Amino acid sequence: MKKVLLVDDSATMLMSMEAVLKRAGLDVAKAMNGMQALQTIPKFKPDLMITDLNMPGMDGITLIREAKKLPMMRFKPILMLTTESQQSKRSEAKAAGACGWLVKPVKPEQLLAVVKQVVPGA
Amino acid sequence: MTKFYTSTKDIHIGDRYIVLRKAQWVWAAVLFCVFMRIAGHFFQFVIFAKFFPRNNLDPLYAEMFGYAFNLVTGVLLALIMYRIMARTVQRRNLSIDGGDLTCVRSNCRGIGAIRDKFTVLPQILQLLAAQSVDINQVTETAAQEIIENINTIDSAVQELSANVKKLLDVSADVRATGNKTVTSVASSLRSMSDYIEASNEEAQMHAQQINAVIKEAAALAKLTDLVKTIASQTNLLAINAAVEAARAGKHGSGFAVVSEEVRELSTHSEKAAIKIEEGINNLISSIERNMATIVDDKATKERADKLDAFAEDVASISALYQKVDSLNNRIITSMEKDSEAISAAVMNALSGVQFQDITRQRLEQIQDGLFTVSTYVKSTLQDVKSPEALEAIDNLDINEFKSRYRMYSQRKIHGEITGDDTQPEAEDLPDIELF
Repeated sequence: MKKVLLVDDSATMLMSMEAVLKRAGLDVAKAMNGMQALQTIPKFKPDLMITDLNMPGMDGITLIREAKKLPMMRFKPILMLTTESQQSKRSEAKAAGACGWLVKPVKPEQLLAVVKQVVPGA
Repeated sequence: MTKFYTSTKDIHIGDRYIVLRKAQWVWAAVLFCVFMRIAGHFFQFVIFAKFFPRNNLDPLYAEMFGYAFNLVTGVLLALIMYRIMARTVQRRNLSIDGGDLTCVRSNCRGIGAIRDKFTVLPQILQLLAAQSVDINQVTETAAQEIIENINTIDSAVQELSANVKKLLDVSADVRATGNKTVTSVASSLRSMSDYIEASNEEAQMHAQQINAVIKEAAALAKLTDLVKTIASQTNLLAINAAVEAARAGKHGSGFAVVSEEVRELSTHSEKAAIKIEEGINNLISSIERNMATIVDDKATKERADKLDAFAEDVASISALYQKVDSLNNRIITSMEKDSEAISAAVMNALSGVQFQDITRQRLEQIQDGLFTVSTYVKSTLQDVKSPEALEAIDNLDINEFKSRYRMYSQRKIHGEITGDDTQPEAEDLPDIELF
């Protein structure tokens, strides 16, 4: 079973995405901020991380940079799921190591299609 | 340095001070008269009477001295009281050192009035921000409850779907077994029908054969008549032989014996023929009795009719079974489709609560804006003491809010409200992009 780590400061968003992904047969862990995510990664060893951009403390782009330093995340895909719409932010995320950008609200079938594309075997 | 009234309270004190300054000489004269009168009485009845008894001094001089004393003490006291009043007012942080007080007062009255009216504004802005925080909490709680309820529905639907799948599997097995049984029963019925038909044909064939045997037996019975006839004629011949033997006398004694024997033989033959005839007749009767049950067409037809009726019943049951199975299949298929539709709706509902997160972010930015304005107004009201100080305070920049926007719609609204010609970043960026 493939594992996905969700990072978002909105509890509602985490619950919603967790329900969608679990129904698709994925194992899901959640984190409310960047620091929590960095602590969860070594224990959970996700196959994919989906993170929000605007979070208190550590933003999504910084989280991606820090996560990519960890050996278990170095070659794992990271998606950005955010309300942000600026091209400059997309470019920044791409440069930091993100493999995809999704704008909220995202439909469940779209999310699952992207997950299947970036995680082989999901 | 000129100080300005910064509140209506100060303005009232200032007004009193201004009235005091403008009418200062009038006030001084009034005080002078009052205190002079008081001092005059004091001098007259206390000091003069004690230290200068009347009979020691000329009345005119005494009166002139008294007036002089009254004048001096009255002036002194009036000045002292005036000074005390002026200082009291000055202690209210008002001091006018030249300048046109009337003109300054009207400007400051305006600033003070504005300040009074806007003093409550920071609190109102904080109140609005706090209300939006509460809205966020309420919508977050509601959205989470919605998710929990949807998850409950989803669990029930998934369980239903699993049960439906199990039913489908069981139904398929039962259908397969049922179909085999129905086919087998139909085959058995056909076989039984064929067997009965064949049995009937065989029975009729046997009946025909036995009828043929009976006919032949009946024909045999006719042969016994011939034997009886022969025996009768033989007996007659023997009688004739005996008669001739008697005629022949001694020479016919041997012939008489032969005729006697022949007569006995014919008698035995006749008896044997009678027995054979009886036996054949008994055999024919017995065969006919036994064949009656076999070649009974009515009984055979009844059995065939009953078997046909049974076959029809089995066929009806089989048809009903297949009908029920088909209906069952349709029900299960329909349930499977409905559960899939519910499942899809559940997925959409789960993702639909994302609206709460988007609403939360927009409300948070409104809160930030309200707090920014509240802080600005509060600090401005605190710092404004003079027109120069007011000039020194930076203006609030509406474009500061623009830097906090995340969504295209926010930038668009900003542009429409402010009349900013700068177009927000185009909306044609894809919602999903893989790098």
